[in-house]
Amino acid sequence: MARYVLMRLAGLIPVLLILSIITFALMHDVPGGPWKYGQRLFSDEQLAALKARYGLDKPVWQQYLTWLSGVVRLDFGMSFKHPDESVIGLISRTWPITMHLGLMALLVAFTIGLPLGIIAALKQNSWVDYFITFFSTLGFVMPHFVWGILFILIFALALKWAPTGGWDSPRQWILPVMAYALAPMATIARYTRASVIEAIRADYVRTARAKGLSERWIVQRHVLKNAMIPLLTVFGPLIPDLITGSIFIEAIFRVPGLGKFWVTSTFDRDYPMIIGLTMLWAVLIAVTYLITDVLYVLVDPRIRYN
Amino acid sequence: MHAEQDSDPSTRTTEPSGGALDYAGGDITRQPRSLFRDAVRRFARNKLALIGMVIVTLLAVTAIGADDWFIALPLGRTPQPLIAKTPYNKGFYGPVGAFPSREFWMGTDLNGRDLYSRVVYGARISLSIGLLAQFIALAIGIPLGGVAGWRGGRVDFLVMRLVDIMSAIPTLLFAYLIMARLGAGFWNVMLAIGLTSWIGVARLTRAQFLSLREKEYIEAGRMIGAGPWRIFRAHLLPNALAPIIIALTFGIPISIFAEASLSFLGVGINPPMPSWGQMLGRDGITNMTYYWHLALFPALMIALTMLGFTLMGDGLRDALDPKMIGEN
Repeated sequence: MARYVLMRLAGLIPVLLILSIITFALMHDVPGGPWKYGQRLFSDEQLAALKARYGLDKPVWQQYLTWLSGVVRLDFGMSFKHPDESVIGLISRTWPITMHLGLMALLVAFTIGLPLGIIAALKQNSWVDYFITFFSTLGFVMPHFVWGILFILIFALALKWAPTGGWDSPRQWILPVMAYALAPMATIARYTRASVIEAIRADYVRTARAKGLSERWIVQRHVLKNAMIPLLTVFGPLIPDLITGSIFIEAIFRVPGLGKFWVTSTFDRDYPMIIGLTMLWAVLIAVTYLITDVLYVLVDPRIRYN
Repeated sequence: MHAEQDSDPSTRTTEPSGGALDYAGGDITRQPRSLFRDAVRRFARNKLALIGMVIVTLLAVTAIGADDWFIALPLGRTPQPLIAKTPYNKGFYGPVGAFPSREFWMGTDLNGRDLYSRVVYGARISLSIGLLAQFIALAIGIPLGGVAGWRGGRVDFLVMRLVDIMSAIPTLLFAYLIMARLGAGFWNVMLAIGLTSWIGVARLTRAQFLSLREKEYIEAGRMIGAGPWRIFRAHLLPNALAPIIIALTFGIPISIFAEASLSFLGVGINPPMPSWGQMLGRDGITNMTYYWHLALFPALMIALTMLGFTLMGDGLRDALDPKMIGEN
């Protein structure tokens, strides 16, 4: 197992290298530059000096090698947009806020989504099932920026239950967490329902029924345990998505997190930030899939990796 | 209503047990049904799927008939609005930011344009981008995944590493980067979304082909001397088609969502061409505390479209393969 994990991590290195080359080439190919559309307009000499300072006057391949040699020393460079902060510093300042929001949303999504999916499956084709299916489809299909806007209109402006935005007190957490949690909650409920229905029809459940086991025992020991295994592949990828934040939620609710940089870094042509974020995402995705695969083996002894 | 509900689960529970029960029930004289006829029957029985199909059909009619562009342009006439009330880029020079009324069903926007007309044209933009972007995804994903799964070996290794790299890409950041490179506009949005969404199709096709190539009927085909192209066309593709159709149906709302997101962020569809995401992001969100209709109607349309395609996709999945849970 340790060998398998090490092999997978080693296989990540070429992926990261090629991905960084693609990103580097693409972002330098985008017209415009980091100091072109700012509030301050620079003279030609100032621009040349800035470019020389950040090495942008050199050929792209040379810039790439400079960047790569920095990465080896875990130095991802300084952000262009926030000149007094390094990319690592900027990410480690804003990411905890986003992660806080994302993990709370994840918790809400699981504690509500899982039971809903199970209930819907056990009461398949009853009105409870239709009700849950309808609402989970609704949660699934509405973009979260639409939910965010609706929540502000209803709960903040009309009912005045919660503030419209900000991130200073727990009261301000409620609306963004709810808006952010709805889509994963619906996803979890939908897939849990499908997976549990599949498990109910399995032969071992029929055998368990034939043996005369109680319905409660069958559901707990046979149905749920087996239904959870395929769900790992669905739930795993939800996590990196949620903890890296969303520009929509953070912009709508004025959360000072990492989410906006996924878009503003490109908008500002903040090259070190663009490539830093790409690397962060790639590593996160790879680690998530690795953990999912390892968990798979631990949960289901039938699966083996060599 | 109740009778319907009761008949549903009973037929469902007998279906998976297949042939054995057919003999037991003495149902031997039944006419053989094709997979397709079976699927249509199952789909027609699913009420939610039918609702989804009605929504999608209505949207498609709205999109095609927004104006008589398709008829008028080849004839050299000026296109006239058909379902919309005014051309999308014309102002009324009347009320600005009017609330919904009998004259302006969804109110007017801050340039005095009829919001209903723009929402109708938005259906054309959303649906065509959703569909075309998915065709790009299929055009890249099916050949790549098919070759990888069918050939195996080194080709498979190379394609799968490419898929690894592509799936490690942060989608929104990359789509935004491509849009910044190409510039905003209808064809570029379609391209950016297509280029970032073929990975799932490639994975699916590869998995299908991997399992199919071990099947006995493929072996038999090869035995009687069928060439690789014939086996691919006559045996592999039809059998891999059902999951691909399902993936397509789920892919369309995802593409529509992506277009709405990019336009919301200001790099999707260029004004004055209307797009629901753009209407939300430009005027909708900044003025929603007062001009609520500017945010509400585009938001509802996005949700309705996604709902229609998702319900239809669920129904198709259940109809084409009742055992499959599906990846998307």
